[in-house]
Amino acid sequence: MTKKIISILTILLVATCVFFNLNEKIGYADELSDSIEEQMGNIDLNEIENFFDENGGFDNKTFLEYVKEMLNGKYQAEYDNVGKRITSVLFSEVNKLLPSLVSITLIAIFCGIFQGIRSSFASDGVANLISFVGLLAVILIISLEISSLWKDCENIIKNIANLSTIMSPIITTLMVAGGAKVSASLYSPTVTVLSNLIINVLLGIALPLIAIMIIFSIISNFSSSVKLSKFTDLASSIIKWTLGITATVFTVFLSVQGITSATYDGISVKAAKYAISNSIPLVGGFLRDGFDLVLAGSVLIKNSVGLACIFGVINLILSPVIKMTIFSLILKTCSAVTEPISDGRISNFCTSIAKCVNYLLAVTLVVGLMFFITILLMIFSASVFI
Amino acid sequence: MKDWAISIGVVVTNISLISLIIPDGKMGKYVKGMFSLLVILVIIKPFTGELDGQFTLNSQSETIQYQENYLYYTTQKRVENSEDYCEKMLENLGILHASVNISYKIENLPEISIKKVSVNLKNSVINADKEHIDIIEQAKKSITEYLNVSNDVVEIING
Repeated sequence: MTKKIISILTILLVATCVFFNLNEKIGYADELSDSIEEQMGNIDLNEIENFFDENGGFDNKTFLEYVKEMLNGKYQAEYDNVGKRITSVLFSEVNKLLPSLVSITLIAIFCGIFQGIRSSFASDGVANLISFVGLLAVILIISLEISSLWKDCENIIKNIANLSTIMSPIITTLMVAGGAKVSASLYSPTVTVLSNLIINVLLGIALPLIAIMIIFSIISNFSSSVKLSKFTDLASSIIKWTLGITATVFTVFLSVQGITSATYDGISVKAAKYAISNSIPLVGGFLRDGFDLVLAGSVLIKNSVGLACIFGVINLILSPVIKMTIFSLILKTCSAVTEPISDGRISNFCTSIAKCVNYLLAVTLVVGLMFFITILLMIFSASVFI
Repeated sequence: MKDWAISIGVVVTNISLISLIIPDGKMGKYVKGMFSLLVILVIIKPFTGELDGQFTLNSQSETIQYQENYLYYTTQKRVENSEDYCEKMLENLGILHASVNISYKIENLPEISIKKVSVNLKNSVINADKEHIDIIEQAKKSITEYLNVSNDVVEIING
């Protein structure tokens, strides 16, 4: 179900970009450069810049430099750099986690060999103790990494909440200045719901449940007398339903709202233009262009700021997402490698922890995708009439 | 949360160690059963507090504050543009070098209500081709229609 949710959100994201035509509204700043320069001097983007300076997000340039490049039409997507970054994070994480994989495999081999020859010189109690110690060592190796991944996920969620709180006054101001007052008034509570309620649901319910799953996975495999696998399944079901309901309700509500408000604002602005151009036939065309100057400048700045924020957030979540993916694959590899050679506890433990990491990945992706869809709808639904 | 996890970890570790040490006999099963109950108690202990209704999701509904400086600036700019366009419109009608001044009140940013439109014709020149028509009335009508205001709001200041 988690994969379905992420697939649906990704399809919606791509559809939003295609429908609203991502590249159309950027790069026309040549004609409006003076107006845009003036407007940029009056809008305060320092909070967003400080956020990205503190948390990272842009490697070579500052946030304002990205926005100005987009406004001037000189922005070029650096696919090479993105590709290099992905491969460098990928290889560094594999190099970092490979010793853990080797250690776990060696521990499993040792435990497996000892189990096989114990009848000759050791009692069952000693054999159980050896397995116990082996599993404890594996738990120690894995728990350090998973706790850092859990903290990364928590930080990403809090950062996205902070960014949406910082960004929303700026984007809604630019929407109002661009003539999309209805859209701004409709999106304001939506962004508040995203940055407060949904983030609190994920931080208050989903993440603690994932922590519970991790703890119960450890306990279930640690002691044969304490069985908690059904508790783990219960936590897993609650997480799936929480993510599913949150993402579905939010996305459907936002999409319907965005389309409706865009239509209303678009008709209002077109009606105003029609009224102007029809009442003064001699200079209607000139007046219409003049009326658009401030509007178009605001819309361009809004689009550039929104897209720069999206690229910044993509950079922020890229490394942790790759780390979680690699760690999950490493754990599944451990599970596969140790299954034939150990008594099954280490293998089951690795599989259950891999499942928990997948949930962390799902929560991170869901929050990121919800943020992207919100910002894209705010950018493009308030630009369709320019 | 951290304390809860630590308490579970300590209890389970102790139970596992004790399970290894105690002999498997008739009493062994009952001891393990009691340990399981103990683990359940430790796990559900935090949730018994939440069921009293103390658990709340901290959701503050704040209204978003616009950057008013920017909205004032864009509103002012659009009024200035409207003044320029009115002057261009008058030029097209044949009145050259007229100046238009719009006095307005901000109702609810960026909406404004126009209080007065002063068209100063003191330094203006009427195009010779257009002198025979009632150009002032035409200019007033055009400005009234463009700005969507009533006739008495537009004031023509003749030279």
